Amino acid sequence: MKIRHFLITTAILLVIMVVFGAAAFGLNFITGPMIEANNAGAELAPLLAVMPEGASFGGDALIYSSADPSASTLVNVPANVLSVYKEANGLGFAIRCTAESSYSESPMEITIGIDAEGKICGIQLDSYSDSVDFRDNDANYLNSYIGKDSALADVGTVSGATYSSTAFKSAVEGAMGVLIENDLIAAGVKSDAQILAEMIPSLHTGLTSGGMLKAEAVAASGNIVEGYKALNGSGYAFIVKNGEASYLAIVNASGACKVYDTTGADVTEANAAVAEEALAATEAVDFSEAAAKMISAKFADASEITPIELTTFGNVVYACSFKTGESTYYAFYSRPLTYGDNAMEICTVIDENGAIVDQNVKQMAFGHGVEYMPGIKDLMDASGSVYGEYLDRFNGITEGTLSDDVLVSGATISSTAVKLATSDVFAAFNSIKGGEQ
Amino acid sequence: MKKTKTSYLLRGTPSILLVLGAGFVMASSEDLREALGMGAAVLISMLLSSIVVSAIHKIIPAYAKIPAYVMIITGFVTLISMLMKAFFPEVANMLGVHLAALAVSAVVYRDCEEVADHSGEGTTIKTALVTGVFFTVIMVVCALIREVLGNASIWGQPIAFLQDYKISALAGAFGGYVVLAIVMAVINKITGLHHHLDENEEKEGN
Repeated sequence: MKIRHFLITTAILLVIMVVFGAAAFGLNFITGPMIEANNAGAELAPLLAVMPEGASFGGDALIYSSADPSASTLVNVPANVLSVYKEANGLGFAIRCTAESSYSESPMEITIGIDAEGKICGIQLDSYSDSVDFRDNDANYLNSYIGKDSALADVGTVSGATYSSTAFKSAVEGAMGVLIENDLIAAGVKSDAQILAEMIPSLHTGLTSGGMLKAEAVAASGNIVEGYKALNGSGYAFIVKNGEASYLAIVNASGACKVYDTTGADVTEANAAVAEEALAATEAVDFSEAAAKMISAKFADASEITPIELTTFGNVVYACSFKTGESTYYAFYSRPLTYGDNAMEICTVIDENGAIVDQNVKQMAFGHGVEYMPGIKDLMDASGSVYGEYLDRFNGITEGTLSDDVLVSGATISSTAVKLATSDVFAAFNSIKGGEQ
Repeated sequence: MKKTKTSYLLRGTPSILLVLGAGFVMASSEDLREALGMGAAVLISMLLSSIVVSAIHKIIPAYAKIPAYVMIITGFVTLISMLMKAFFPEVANMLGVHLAALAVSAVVYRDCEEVADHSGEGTTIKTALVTGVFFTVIMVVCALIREVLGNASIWGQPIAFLQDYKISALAGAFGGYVVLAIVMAVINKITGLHHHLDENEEKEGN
């Protein structure tokens, strides 16, 4: 009986399956091509959206796909470039790529249209899930890319969403770089001011955070065409015209100034007037009192505190030497930027041999930031100060032994800033010792 | 006989439908287009499945009914899915896997098993239409609330003056269940009145 039931059930199901299978088979002749066309259209929709009207991407349009890089003749394609399409009528190229910042919940997906002259004709974000949306802070930001060549002149980053917008800009630069590298478009020519502005992060780390320029604009005046004031009080940077040439003048917290030309050469001596004009546009900030408090907190018997003029350009805003007993130490007060562009206060004390004998950090994390930085929270006491194991990591460290061991997982931005400041401290120490010799 | 027909039609009352189709309502009522798409898919699959079941139920032995009905529903859902992907790709993309999951929907199966298996084509078609329309209306009501208040948009078009007041949580799963609960409470209140009237009529008849 059971076998009979089984056979009848099977037969019924088979009949139903055959009927619907035949119906689906027949229907597929109509819907199949339509579904295929819809899928292709959906894939090409972002490309068409960034290209001029009449653009077509049929046939051999796909000239690079990250799914199969070996099938492409393009070379030196960054990993974040997903695909490169060549428009069928010679109108240009469309590139799909991704970008990721420290705050990305998932990578941004970007489609860029580039015309045959190498200028951006369209750009759109296909997906974006960072904690801050730069389009909220600057609704016109994407439009600022339109019409720009690979130099991306006058395209900056968005205040309040620096990490996201910098990652976005870098992705666009990388994508255009693929076409330039493979001789598909000509490279844009950067202006002198642009070249000089891009040199700031490498020449004055005090004006940066995470490798990005973090400064407020200073109004142009006289020969100064652009000016930047560090958010942490570590100095200034100016783009200054001198005749036909433009120069970068950087100023540190002690009022030292250096002038660089567009090749990155130090031309301070030959451009004393530029340095003078730059210095005249600065305002001095006195950090001696704040530094003295931090020194006396750890070295109550510190005496003969002697300020030292800084000649380096970084996060160190004050330096001094002091004595305890017969020993001489050097204290460096630095203010690197951390979460939310807030400046930390760090006092690093180094002995005569260049080894850290004490590292004290105030305001490692700020307000709501603490909640999101468990790595640092674990290292803090009830009052919010950072003590214990984290600071102990710095004891005995010299310039040669400073490593990523001082970084804290879950507090990458803060601990990276402390590491950068410590690196600046060693540079300042070496400068002082070099000057003494 | 009158009571039987009426009860078949009213068996599609939304309060029962809401419980059976809670997952579909929650998942597919974020956007008005999505809700109409799912509503149409439910209505058509229910109508066609019920007609076929009603026509062949006498030749299918009792022990083979469940797998056979599931196969029939699955077959129709597959065909509807193919048509939607071809003619309404945007809506089909929005519905995603939920469209395929319709094949095992208790809403559709209940219609086939309870009505089509026991009635003629006329009652079956009427019941499927009433149930399908009820379901679609519920989906649309939920979608209107969620899309307008949760996404500050209608039919995918942003509503400018609502952008600053949108309650994003309504667009998510949590909001879906909250809206579902509110709609269910309202429907229960309304249909509770009808049940009460029906019971009185029944007593008088006895």
